[in-house]
Amino acid sequence: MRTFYLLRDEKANISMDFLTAVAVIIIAFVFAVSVLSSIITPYSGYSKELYPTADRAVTLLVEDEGYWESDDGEGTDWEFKWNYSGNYDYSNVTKIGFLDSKETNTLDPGKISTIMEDQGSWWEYPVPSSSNPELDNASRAMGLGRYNFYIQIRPLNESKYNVSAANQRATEMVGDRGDVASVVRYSRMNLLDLGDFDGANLFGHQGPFKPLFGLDNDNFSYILSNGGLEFIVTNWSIIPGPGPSPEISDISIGIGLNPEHEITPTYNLQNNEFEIYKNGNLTTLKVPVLDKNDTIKIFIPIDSINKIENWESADFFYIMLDVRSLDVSQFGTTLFSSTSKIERYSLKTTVWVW
Amino acid sequence: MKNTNNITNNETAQMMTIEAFLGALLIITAVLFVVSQAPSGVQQADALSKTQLMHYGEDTIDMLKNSPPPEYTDYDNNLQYYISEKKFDDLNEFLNDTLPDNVVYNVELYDGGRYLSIIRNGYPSANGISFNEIIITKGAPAGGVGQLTGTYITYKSFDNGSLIIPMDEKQNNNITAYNLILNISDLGIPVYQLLMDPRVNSLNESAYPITTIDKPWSESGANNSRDYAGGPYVIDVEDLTPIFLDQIKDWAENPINVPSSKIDKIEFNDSMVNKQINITFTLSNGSTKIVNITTYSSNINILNTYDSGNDSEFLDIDTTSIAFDDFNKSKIIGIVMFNNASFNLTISNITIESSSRKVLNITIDSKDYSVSSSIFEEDISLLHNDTARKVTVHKITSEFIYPYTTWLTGSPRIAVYPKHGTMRNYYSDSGISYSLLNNESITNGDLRNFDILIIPHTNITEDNMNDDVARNVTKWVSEGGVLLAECASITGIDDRVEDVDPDNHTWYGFIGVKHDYGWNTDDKVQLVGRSPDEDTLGKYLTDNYTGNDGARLHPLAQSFSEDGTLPGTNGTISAFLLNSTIPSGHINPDNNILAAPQNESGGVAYPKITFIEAPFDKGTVIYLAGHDQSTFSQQRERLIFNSILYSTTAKVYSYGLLEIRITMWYK
Repeated sequence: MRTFYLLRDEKANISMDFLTAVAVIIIAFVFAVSVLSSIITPYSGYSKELYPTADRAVTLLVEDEGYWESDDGEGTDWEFKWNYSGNYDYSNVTKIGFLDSKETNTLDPGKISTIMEDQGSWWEYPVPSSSNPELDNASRAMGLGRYNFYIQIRPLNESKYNVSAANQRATEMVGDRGDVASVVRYSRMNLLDLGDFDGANLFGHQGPFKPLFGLDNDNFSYILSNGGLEFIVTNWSIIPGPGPSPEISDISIGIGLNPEHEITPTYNLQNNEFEIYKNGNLTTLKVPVLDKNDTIKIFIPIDSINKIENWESADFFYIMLDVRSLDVSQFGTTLFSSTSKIERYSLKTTVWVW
Repeated sequence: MKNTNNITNNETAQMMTIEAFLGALLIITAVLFVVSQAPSGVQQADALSKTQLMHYGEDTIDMLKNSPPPEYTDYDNNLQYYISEKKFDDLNEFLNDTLPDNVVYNVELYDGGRYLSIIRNGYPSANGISFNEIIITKGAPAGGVGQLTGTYITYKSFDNGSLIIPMDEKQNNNITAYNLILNISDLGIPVYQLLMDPRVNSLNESAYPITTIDKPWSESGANNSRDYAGGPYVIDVEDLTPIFLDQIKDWAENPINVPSSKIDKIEFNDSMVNKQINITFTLSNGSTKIVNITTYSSNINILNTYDSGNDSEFLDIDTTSIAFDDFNKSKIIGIVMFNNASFNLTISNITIESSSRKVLNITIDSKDYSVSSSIFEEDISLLHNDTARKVTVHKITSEFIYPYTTWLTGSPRIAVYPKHGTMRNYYSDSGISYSLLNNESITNGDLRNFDILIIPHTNITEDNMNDDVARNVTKWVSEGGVLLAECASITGIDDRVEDVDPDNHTWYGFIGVKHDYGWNTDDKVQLVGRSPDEDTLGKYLTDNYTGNDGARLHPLAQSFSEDGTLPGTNGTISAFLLNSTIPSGHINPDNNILAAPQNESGGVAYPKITFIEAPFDKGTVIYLAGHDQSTFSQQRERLIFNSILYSTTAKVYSYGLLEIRITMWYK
């Protein structure tokens, strides 16, 4: 056995060669790790998980229609299953996506409005009023389960919205947090703008006269994005007397018609289930229409529409007015699409994750 | 054995002050390096992410492809609209509004030839990413779909070092220049042409100033800003290698070796119908060649030739294109003299004899000579390496951009049918060779190997062009071929096409020209067509009766002359009319009248037409009146070679494929 002995005049020194070698090895090691890490992942930054997470989430939002499944079935129209029946049931939605199923690179305003808060032509989520169950499920369905996040959707045209307000909210929600990843995507959105109906050209049931309005399934996202269905009728065609005074006496909704173009089965809305305005003033049924220029605006909120079971799967959603002494010029359905216009937006979707 | 592991008291490899300092320095360096590799902030890392840049690019293209075009436009989306209508400013505005401020972009179009920059904001940094998208667009030059709609004209920049081949008075020989252009094109090098309006005076309005050196091979020439007119050709320096440069220099400086000379016209004192003419060519060594020809009411035939030998056997008298040139049939044109020897020949005199007729004038190589007797005594040299055939080339010394540039996509393959005719004259001047096709070769499908079919003066009838041939020619043009008919061929080919293709097109024949051409004129020819410059320039620019752009910026009409007038030439059809006896819908609606004869007062003798072109599906039909364009003027003869080059000039179709490339990078 060989033993090393320290002699009397030897001190606990280390060799310069040893020190140099260690330093070189450390430098080489650090360099190798640095280079390898940048090769393996395309993302730079020390929060390497955040960026791909944000990228995946925003890609899902703008490139996917979303998905739901339950014992009753499955589909991509998750917007009708979110907060299902108003019971805060979000569990059936497995994936949230905003892509319009009918057009490429275009977001569905109905899907957006289902979860995001409309702040006046720009949208954000979450907001302070977002409930915890909803937020938890949204995180899950967006693949952001264990992260904090904030989403904004804005028009690219800055004249369309309040830029400073949107910036302010982004600052408040994200601010100067240290580890934040953000990813931006561009998309398009077609927003339906329902025009006014001409009372002199209404379709519906004749004898008695019942103007019938129909919104086709392709435009159901309007109900979601506007929280209901709102329409205006002007230029009424009043049947000259003698006879009962012209008025709107009842409003009913449904998804089926009989051969006479009457809704069946029908649901008669109560006064607290809709809003009706005459010449800008909120009123209640029965509403007299004595002047042909009277402007009648009717708003049926989505909660009332939900009284019709499975309306979202129907081909049409119908509204029928019971009227007296107001003419229906033709037998048939007054289609919302006949007066509507489409406003086209370019949008910027930003997801922040931290 | 000594234990070498023992450290003894006289060993001194211990860390002293300097070593400690070096060690500390190394450690500090390592720490600094690690720190420098760490991200300075997540926001910055994200903003500079290549993934984000890819999203910007792909989403932007998706938005362009999926956004609707302006109302009342016939496009599928905004991208197609911007590109087809060349709304590059609108595209730039869209990109500028869409992309964040820290992203810079360039946009280029690939049109089958090369990438053309349409939006340029600088040089991409190393982290730039390019996004390519193939789009179907109107007015695209590559992969044409549908009808031919015209020439592809675009912006093009040329850097210092590019070569320019003048096509105006600065050019030593405007015809052999075409030979050089075809040779360069054969190398696979794109040859660009700067298209101009040939109707304005070259010395002011239409000429384009370019800084060039006039002796490009020696670099010793004068470096000046020069005005170029007549549609000069340019070779981009990017396509030039030293080997190519040497080759081009060799071609330009060593001219075509087709020693020849032309008797453009012999004018007699009266009609030469039913006469025999004996022409004796005497060489400087005394040897002779005699050519006997006989004339009929409409054609002239060679009877026989006599050769005395002793060099005269090398003198080839080509009468392929011989014809009467006027109504009275007192003028004979189209005799070409070729030197087939390997040395120079000189003709010292020509004797022209015909009973009861006198020679009044003779025109040789565009020069007129009065003749007092039957003997013409001037030396005519048939030279090898004739310096008059050198091609002038200049070198560009300062970058310039030209907005009306087109280019050749290849070297044209030329066919002539059914006989050489005046092509022998054009070959004599240019050295550009061609293939002669007959009915059998066309029936066998030989047209597929050619880009242009030239039909010199021929009385085309059912007897000499059968239905099979007519169908082959019609189909070949329909699929993209270019047909040039000269003189008497014009009406005949229109008739034959109508016979075999009566239902496929609403109009008559290829274009729909009238038959009763009861006149023959050698009046000057005026290039015509609309022009945006009419209010400021005048000079025939108000002639918009043609209903199209006509000669302006048209490759077929590029020439250099005062006010766009060219010398007239006679011929069986020296001008023609569109057929007014058939409904207007029976005339090719896209016809493009390029030139018309001048009338006596110097105005335009419309509806007479000299030069017209029209698309026929994917192909082009060109009708050029006059028997021999090479008589009197190289600028008139250019119309033939313009037609030849037009067959491979970049064109646009009603729809085609185009690739857009957007390169993005961070500031």
